[in-house]
Amino acid sequence: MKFSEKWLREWVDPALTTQQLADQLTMAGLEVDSVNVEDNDTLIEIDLTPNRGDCISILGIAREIAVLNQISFSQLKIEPVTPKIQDTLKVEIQVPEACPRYVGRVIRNIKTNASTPSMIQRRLEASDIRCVHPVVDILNYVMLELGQPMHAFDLDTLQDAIIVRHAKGAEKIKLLDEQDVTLRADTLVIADRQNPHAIAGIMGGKDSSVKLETQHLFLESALFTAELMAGKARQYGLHTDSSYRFERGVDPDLQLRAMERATRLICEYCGGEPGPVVEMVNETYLPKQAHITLRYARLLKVIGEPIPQKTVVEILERLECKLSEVSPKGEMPVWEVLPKTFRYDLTSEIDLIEEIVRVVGYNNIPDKLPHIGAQFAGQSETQVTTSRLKRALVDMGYQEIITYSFVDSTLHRELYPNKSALALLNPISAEMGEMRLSLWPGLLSTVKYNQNRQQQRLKFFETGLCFTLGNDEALFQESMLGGVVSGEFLDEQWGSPKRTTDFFDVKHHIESLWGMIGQTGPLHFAPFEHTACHPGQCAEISYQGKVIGLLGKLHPRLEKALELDGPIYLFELKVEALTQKPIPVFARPSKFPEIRRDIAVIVDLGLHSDNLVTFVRNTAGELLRDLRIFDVYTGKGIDSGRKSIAMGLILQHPSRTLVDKEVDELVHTVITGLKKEFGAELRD
Amino acid sequence: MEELLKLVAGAEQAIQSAEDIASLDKVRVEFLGKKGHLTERLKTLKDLSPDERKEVGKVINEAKEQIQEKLAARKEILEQQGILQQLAKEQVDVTLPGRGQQCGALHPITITMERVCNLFSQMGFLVEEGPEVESEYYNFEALNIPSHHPARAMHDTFYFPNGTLLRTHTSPVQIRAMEKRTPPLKVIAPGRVYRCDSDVTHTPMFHQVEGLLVDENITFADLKGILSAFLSAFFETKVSTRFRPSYFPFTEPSAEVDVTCVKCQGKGCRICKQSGWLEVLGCGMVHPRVLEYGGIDPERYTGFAFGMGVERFAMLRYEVDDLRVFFENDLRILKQFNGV
Repeated sequence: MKFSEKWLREWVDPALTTQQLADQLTMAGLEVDSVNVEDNDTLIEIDLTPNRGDCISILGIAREIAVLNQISFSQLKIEPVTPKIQDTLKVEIQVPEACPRYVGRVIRNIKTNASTPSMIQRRLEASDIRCVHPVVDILNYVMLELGQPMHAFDLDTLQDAIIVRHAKGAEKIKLLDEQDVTLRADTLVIADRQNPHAIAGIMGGKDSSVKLETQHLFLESALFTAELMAGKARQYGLHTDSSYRFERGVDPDLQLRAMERATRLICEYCGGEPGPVVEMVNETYLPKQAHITLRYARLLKVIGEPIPQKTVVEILERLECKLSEVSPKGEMPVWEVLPKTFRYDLTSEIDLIEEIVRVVGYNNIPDKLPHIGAQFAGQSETQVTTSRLKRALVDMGYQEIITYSFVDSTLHRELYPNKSALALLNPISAEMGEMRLSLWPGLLSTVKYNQNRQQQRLKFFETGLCFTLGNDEALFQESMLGGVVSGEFLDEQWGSPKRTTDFFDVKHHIESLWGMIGQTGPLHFAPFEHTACHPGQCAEISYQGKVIGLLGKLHPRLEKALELDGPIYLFELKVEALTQKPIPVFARPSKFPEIRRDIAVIVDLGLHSDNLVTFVRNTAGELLRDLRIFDVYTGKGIDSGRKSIAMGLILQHPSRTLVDKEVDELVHTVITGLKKEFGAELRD
Repeated sequence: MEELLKLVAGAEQAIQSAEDIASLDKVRVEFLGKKGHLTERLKTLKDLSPDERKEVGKVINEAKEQIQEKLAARKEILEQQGILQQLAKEQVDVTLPGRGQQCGALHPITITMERVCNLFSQMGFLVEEGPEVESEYYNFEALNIPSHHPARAMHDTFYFPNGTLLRTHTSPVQIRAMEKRTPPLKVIAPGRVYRCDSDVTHTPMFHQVEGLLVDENITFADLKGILSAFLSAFFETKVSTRFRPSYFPFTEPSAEVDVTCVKCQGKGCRICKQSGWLEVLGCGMVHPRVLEYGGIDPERYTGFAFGMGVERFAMLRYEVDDLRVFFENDLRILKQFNGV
């Protein structure tokens, strides 16, 4: 709501400068957006909250200022206009719940050469309302003044009657803004016997609008209920001064006064002979003023600061509420409060409490700290926070990123051709059309963004929900941790051989995370096929038979399709699998010396080291304290199709020193077993 | 005798000219070895008379001791020199850069969000999270925003075909927390939220932190106190706050909170649009109807709730002047937060 300060001060004139007035309004919840000083006036713009429909007028703001400053404001005297003719138009309301009051009036023989008085023009312009026709301008002026949106029809275009009804199947109307619209069945229209002539409370039709040559008018001042107006204008992509007010609610008692005020102004500036007012009311659907019980004790409980009873009563009276004390004997005061119709937003005790503290001023309530009792939050040591996981990755050199949760469906199809994703009904753009199935689309887009800016060594991770659909379209929102690595293993530096990051570097990061949460068993990495991944460099990650993630090299096909510089390694883990850790249990280390034996065996190229390790562990039993693979070799000296794997076995007995003989025997058993099981040859 | 003195002088000279341990050892062998000059002299003693033998022997032994002393002294010097040479050889250019890899960084939004949550955790608030695809019920209805409410239009909601939606605020976590726990409730809920809006000052996804405190005697004065204390703690300076009446369907009384501009200390600058104030928070006393939706008796309990935009706090804290920077993930910008 933007208005002329001069106009406002005709209604109420507190002893405040413009800036003081603006600050006062802001601090009372009528936030002043801007104050523009013009030649001989100041324009004030207020950003109103949706509950304060009563302030979308000079009258409303003046009333508010009067309350805040404990002064009076000039009530505009509105006298009924004496009819000069007896013409009326029948008004029929078919949907009284949407239109409980309709006030109409015929005015004949207005001057076609009238012009809008300059004072009205200026005030409309101050409020960014375009001047179009004296009659329309006057109606807009009354709307600004009192808050009642009105409409004028060219009487000659209306047939027989005014009917307030819902639109009928696919009715069409050309609106004032030249837009042709097909009306929805739930749209309230103002029609005659034949055609709709306005979308009620939103915009009039072109054909029945007041034109330069119009001589006879039918004026409308109606109440359309806020609940039924909500969202209606938006359905047509419209937002008008009228819909803005009706959606927030208009004083249900204002229509007749607004009609008299507008009639008087029209007759004054445009001439014309007014007919009698026709008023259709359906009491059942008129908003009822609530009788509210206000307990002083409750007020104190919510506010936490004693506001004197006297102040409470004074404020309510200034707000024009009717008030009677109904306190039970010997108890804290209780009042029955009846607000005026223009404060239809006050319907419950808490509304009154807010209103009182608002007028007292929020900043006159002292700051206190709540007594919230001493209690421990009960943090479990077995809980690993996402924050801890993130920090571990940061320490490994990763940068955290945050990408949109909706991604490009084309990218989705590339990565997950067989999965369907949850699509938005109203996306910002096609590139943000689907809820991400995994973190990989965002990670890859970020790689691309940075590679385009000459950044080559990239290590990113992101955490967040991913959205997958089950068989029955059930939605799973699962918290994931994903990463992407590309480029050199280390930043370029002296004395370190240059090499590109590979699969095992990234695998180590995952294993480090796992080690960090102190899980006892190792993760299991099994070869896996995934459309997004290189068929020979992709692993499904599981723990105790439960799949918890995926690691792979981006398929070269996708590298090319997405115009990325490879190789690129991606991983994704379920956060839930990483959130629990066991509490460590102390074990005393053996006091006896460790013995190390190295064995190198030649096996088939396709054999997984995992199989060898598991076999050795099982065969060597409890004496094997540790086992490490320290070399893998193919090439000269080894048959093609075979590879050499060298393992270091660390053996130790818990309660005595191992003797060479038993160690030799154990190693022998292992080697014999490997030969038998895997056709392994011992390498010299 | 004179000969002996000459010998000692010769030895001394040889010792002094030995440049390393090996040549020094040669000198030792030459004079004191089995066939060394002095050893040879000692062998000649047997040809002398006992008196002479005693006297000459004494002199030879003195000469021997003298040479031994010189040898030892020279050896120590040479050893010392050897160590120094070794050390000199091992010298490195300490100004060369170290090797290895640098730490990365958390995203500034995460840093800010964790900081807010940590401050409230210190007050005993528990961190809660909720789903991002929400129902109308949790996002609107249970928060006292019925379908015809104008506030719904202001939320620019993303919808899915089945009627679910992307939460437009973290406030649904309030209801979920009330359903899950019984008062006293102290909850802090960080997370992503979504609104169908995209321009210079709006991104379709952003972050909020929601707070909720419900207990038997929680008042509006408490709300003011805790938020003022929080804002001073967050900005690490005593900021002034002002509470302006506002409107949220799920709180009443509702307020917007301004702090004195952290850039200009209230003098007026570009960041605060010359007003001296920055709007940073929305808050209020939980509406009795919302408590009822959460299964809490509004006669017995009162509570307050607040919500803040994380991007706003991060922009103020790190002087970021463009919201969209947060979601571009430019490595050159992300790296600026290493060590924060």
